[in-house]
Amino acid sequence: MTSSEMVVNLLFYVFAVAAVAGALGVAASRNIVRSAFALLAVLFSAAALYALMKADFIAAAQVLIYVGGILVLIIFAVMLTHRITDVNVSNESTPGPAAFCAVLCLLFALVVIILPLPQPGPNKWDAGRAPETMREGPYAFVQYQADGKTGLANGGSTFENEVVVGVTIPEDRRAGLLRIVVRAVENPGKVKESLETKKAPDATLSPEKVRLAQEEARKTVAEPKSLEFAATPEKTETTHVRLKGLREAAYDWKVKLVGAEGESPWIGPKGDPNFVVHKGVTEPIALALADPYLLAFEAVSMLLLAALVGAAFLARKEVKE
Amino acid sequence: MNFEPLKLWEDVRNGGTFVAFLGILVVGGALINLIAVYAGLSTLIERKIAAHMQARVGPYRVGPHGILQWLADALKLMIKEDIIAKDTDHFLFRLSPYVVFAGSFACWVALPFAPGWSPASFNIGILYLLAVSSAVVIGILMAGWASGSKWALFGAMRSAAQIVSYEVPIGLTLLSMLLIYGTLDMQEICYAQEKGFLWGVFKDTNGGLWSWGINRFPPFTILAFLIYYIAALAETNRTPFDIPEAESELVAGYHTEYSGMRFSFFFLAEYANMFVVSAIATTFFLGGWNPPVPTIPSYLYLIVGAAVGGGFGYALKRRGFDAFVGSMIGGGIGVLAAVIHLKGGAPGDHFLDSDSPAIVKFAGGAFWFSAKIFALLFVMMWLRWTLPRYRVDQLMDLCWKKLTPLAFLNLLAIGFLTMTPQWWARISALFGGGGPG
Amino acid sequence: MKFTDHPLEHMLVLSAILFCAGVYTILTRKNAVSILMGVELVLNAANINFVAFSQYTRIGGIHGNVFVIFVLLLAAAEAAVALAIIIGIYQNFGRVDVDQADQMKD
Repeated sequence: MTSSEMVVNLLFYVFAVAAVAGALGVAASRNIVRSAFALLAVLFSAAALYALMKADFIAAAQVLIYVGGILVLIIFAVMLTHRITDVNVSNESTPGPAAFCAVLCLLFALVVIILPLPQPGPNKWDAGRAPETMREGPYAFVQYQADGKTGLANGGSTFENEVVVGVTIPEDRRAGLLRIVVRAVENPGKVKESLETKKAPDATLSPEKVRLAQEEARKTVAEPKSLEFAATPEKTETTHVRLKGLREAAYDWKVKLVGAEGESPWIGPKGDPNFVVHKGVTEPIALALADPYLLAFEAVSMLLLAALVGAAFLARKEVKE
Repeated sequence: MNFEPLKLWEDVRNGGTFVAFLGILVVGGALINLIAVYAGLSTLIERKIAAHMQARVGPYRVGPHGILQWLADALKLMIKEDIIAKDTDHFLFRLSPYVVFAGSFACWVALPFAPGWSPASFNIGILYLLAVSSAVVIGILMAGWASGSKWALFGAMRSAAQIVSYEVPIGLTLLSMLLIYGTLDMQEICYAQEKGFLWGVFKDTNGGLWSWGINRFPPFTILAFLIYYIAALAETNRTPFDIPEAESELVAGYHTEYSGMRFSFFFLAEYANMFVVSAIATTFFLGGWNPPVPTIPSYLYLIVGAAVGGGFGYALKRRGFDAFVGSMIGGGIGVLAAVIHLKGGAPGDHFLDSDSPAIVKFAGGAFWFSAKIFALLFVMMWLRWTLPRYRVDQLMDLCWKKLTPLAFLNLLAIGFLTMTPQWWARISALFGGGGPG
Repeated sequence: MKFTDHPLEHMLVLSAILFCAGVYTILTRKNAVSILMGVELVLNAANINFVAFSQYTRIGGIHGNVFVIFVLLLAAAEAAVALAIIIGIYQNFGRVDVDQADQMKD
């Protein structure tokens, strides 16, 4: 078990224990204010778990909306509706064996019966869909995520800065093959001004070269950046080329075979392979909200407006005549 | 014998994640110390500024001209008796100062102190800041409730209602600025203010005062800055919005029952919060760590800095202030400018160039960032001793009936202005790309 | 540091536990605000499930996360209206006990 696995496990268990403790506090505490603050622990732990799963936008939205809005509302309601006479024991519950047994049965059903059911798809919890093979003539191309095994769908997105491209070349074409070059070109529609132009360059370059590099970097805002990666052909049929150091952008890639006699033209497999590198979920969610979910978004905003007006009206103080 | 656990420990110690964890602890520790020192000095600065504005001297005895007064205050708070009333909810009473402080402290890790230097780099920088400030509200409610006193509870509820209400204009103005920048990342926002001109006319001029956020679409971004600043004053419970902690109104609001070290946590949290909202204002509106005039050579910075500092010192000395304070301010500014910008002295050398050593970048960026923040803090403290207090209903009226509609209209205007180049480009493309008509 | 090092099942078990705690709160509490807290627990459990499936496996792409955003918004709207109603009940009856608010008219 590497240290990073340990850290991930540790973080998960810390937040999971906090969430469960908070949930038990909400369910079983006799003081309603204590259960409100136990709910705070649950909400923060849930946000931490979202952040652990790299859904950063959702973690921030959870804290902003749930803790900053709903929990504050709940605490206000608790403080406005409790009678001054009984401060501590203001939250009785009627436990009864029935409810407890029902809930235990529900938990049993969820965890023991429903959870291990087989899921559709080749592999149970595959991160990403199955690898898609794209063919062009006698060659076959696949794109994988950084571990080289889980597939990266065409047009799919990955969170890491590395992608692996697998190129399968049949035996009869492999004579005299020196290198396989993959060129990944950033899709200009999604290029952002990057921090790369401002970082300190390699210290081993002479100052003149550094200045030239800076000049070039400074004027390439509109030009799509293209990166080339090469790999020597492996003994097996499929050669894996690792594309490293990718920025946060959308990439289209093509392959070139360099042999002893010369270079082949740039082979672009059918289906126009591309992938997107994301650092967080903000941009995908925004794109989804603008395109497939636009109607739902607008409808929810209308609903929120109605809820706002309705709540303000319902909670008004009646002026007693 | 099983040596597996030993190998595991070796692996842990050598793993990159472990080192990252240690790095987090070190940075966190340094940041907490920085906050503590800053908050302590901030109390001293506030008292001195208040005093000089009221034509008196302020703390004078501890240390030369009262410079060490903040240490005395800190020591006093630490050795005070810790009184916990009988009627309180003990667990929540003990917990709430830490929750409030944690909310403010967590905001410090996302601030862009210098180019490439931020305690943690976030994709969702500003959203994270807004989210974590909600912990402060919960902590305040916790403190008010756990104090077991009716007045503390009222103070806490008023304070929480005020903070939550004023988050709306803050969010709206920051949203209108985000339309201009197009990114949530605080460092990228500072980078975006390196170049540009008013109304997006020239995109490549070399930065300076006119490419700051506040000058992007002048009438509207200036309005956005003012709305943000007023709302930030209310967010941190500063005068004129300090009804929750005004001495004459509610004794001390939600922290009435706290004494000694616990009270100092609330104090620390308030000053840390002031720094955070000023830092957000600086990042979005005042250019972050960008200097006001970027392309003059560094020796000119030295000369200008010494001149400005010396002039300040001389002017203050002539008007009858303490000669010591005046010359200290003057000399300090000059020395700082010299230290930061003396990078070789070749013409055109600028500390933001890619080939300047990292320490120069850090010092320069941090200097300008802090200078702008302290200017905003000075204005906050100035307002405290100048303006009378708002009543609670006037405060809410200002937020919901004046600032929020203005912020909405501002958002509309800035959104329109941001989209205009694209629409113009499409219209001229429609007409054959040959210009209007 | 990849979060997929930790198996997805554990996340689902956690969300099941939260869900059941929420259901227990809804079933047994007498205070209306407590019942609302139980509802929030249930919604959070469902959210964790959605995000876990969406992030561990990209089945359906990013749509799991988008659904979570909508659930967050709707939970906020529902909590606001529910609490307004609770405050109305308090003003009419003097208590927020769900057992005693059992008639349509006073």
